Amino acid sequence: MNNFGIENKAKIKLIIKTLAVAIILYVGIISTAPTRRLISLKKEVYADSTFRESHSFVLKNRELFNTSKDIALQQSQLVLADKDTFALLINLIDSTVNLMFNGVKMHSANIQNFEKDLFYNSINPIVYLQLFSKPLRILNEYSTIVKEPIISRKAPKDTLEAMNNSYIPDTLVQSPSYFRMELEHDITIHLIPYDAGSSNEKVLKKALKKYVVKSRIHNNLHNLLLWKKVKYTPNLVIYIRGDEIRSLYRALPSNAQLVLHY
Amino acid sequence: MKTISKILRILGNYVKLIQLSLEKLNWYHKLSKFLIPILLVSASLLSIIYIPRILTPTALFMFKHHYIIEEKDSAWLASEKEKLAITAKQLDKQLATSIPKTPYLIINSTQNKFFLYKGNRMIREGRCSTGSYLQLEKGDSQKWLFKTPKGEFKIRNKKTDPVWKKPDWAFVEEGLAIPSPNHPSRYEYGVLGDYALSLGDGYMIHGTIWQRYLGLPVTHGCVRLNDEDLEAVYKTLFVGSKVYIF
Repeated sequence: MNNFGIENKAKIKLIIKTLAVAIILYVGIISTAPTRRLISLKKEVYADSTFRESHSFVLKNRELFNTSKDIALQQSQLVLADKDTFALLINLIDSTVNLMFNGVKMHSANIQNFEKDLFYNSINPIVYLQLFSKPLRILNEYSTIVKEPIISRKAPKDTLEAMNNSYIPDTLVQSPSYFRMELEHDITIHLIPYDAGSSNEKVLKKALKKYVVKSRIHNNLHNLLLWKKVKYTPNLVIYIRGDEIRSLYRALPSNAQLVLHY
Repeated sequence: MKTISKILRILGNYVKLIQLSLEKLNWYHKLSKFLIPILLVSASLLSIIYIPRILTPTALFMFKHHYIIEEKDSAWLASEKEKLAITAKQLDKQLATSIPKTPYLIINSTQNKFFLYKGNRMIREGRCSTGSYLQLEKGDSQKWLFKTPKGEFKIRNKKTDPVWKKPDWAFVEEGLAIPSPNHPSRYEYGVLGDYALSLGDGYMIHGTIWQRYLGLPVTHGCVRLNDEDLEAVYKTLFVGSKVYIF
């Protein structure tokens, strides 16, 4: 009995030690996921030697890179100008989120604040030009906003019923606007309402943090169980007014295109 | 390497010191059996919080392209800058062709606002009313959805003192029987204001007698403006002018 108890204790200690070391190693692997994503992107882009050689000057001088970024923005806008559909243009340098149609700016919303993952600042200049010199497609989207707030009403039988059923929309009741877009290259953009410290804004911020942490944990555990590579989704959180988010979301078709400039 | 080994030695000495002082306590002997597992579990829990905060930014910083030695050769730099400037100019010209040369109107149907432009310059803005998204249902077969369509449109024609020819839904909505197509009760005078600009498919930009509802989504799909704004829009736009609704 005593030997059995001692053996069990030793096994338990060994399991705890192994688990602890495994957790530390795994956390280390997850922490380097952004860097590994950058490395894989660089490999993909550098595989095209023509593009790499024609743009190698951006690696030599910062000013040339900044000018090339502006040109990349213009090139993306030109692609959008050819499409007869609404698209988004997010310009973090000008702090604006713009709705575009056929090259014409329909609407411009001011960005109050934004938070971007460190991933974005560490992108290789040539990789930046390759990724962001054309629009990105929105592959998935989620929003708390109703795209078409249709209200059904039965036709009244007579004029008296018609008078009693006259309808004026209630525009005061609005659920907090939130819009999330999942783009190509696993980029995720969140539009959060900036309502100067209102309770809605705080609730949404908390919910967003919870979502980001939960989705990363879920993805990582899911990939671990299936013995797949750790997936990293670079997040960009943009704070603009709630009614602007509503306007932008309702204008966009599904799988719209988005231009990002920062 | 030397520094790291020094640090590890110092840490090891501290651990021994803690061990020695704890040995004086009675409960240490019970605790010491589980000391290493407890330390490892705590380390792994703390690592979940702290390793990403330290390792991620460090790894990203090391990977980032740093302009440590920037190419400052003035001749080369000048020629590259010139090439880029030429490209930027050409692209600017191409982009400028997509902006309409003639005045155009933009309508925000979510916020119920309009913006009148001449080129890149906004010359007027104000409130309007757009579709209510009400769906009127008569039985199972007839449905009308009152929404303002989105996209790019052109002014098809312009009218002064427009007369509204009421469609079927206008009678259904009021609980009235639908009259014949050219019945006099179909024609209403004065409800569309002084001017109307047609966008096609029955949609128009016109005035309204219900000015207090401007800024609200209350229409059956048309765009309503107040009298002054309507006059300005009517006089600025002409047949063929673009109207963008989003």
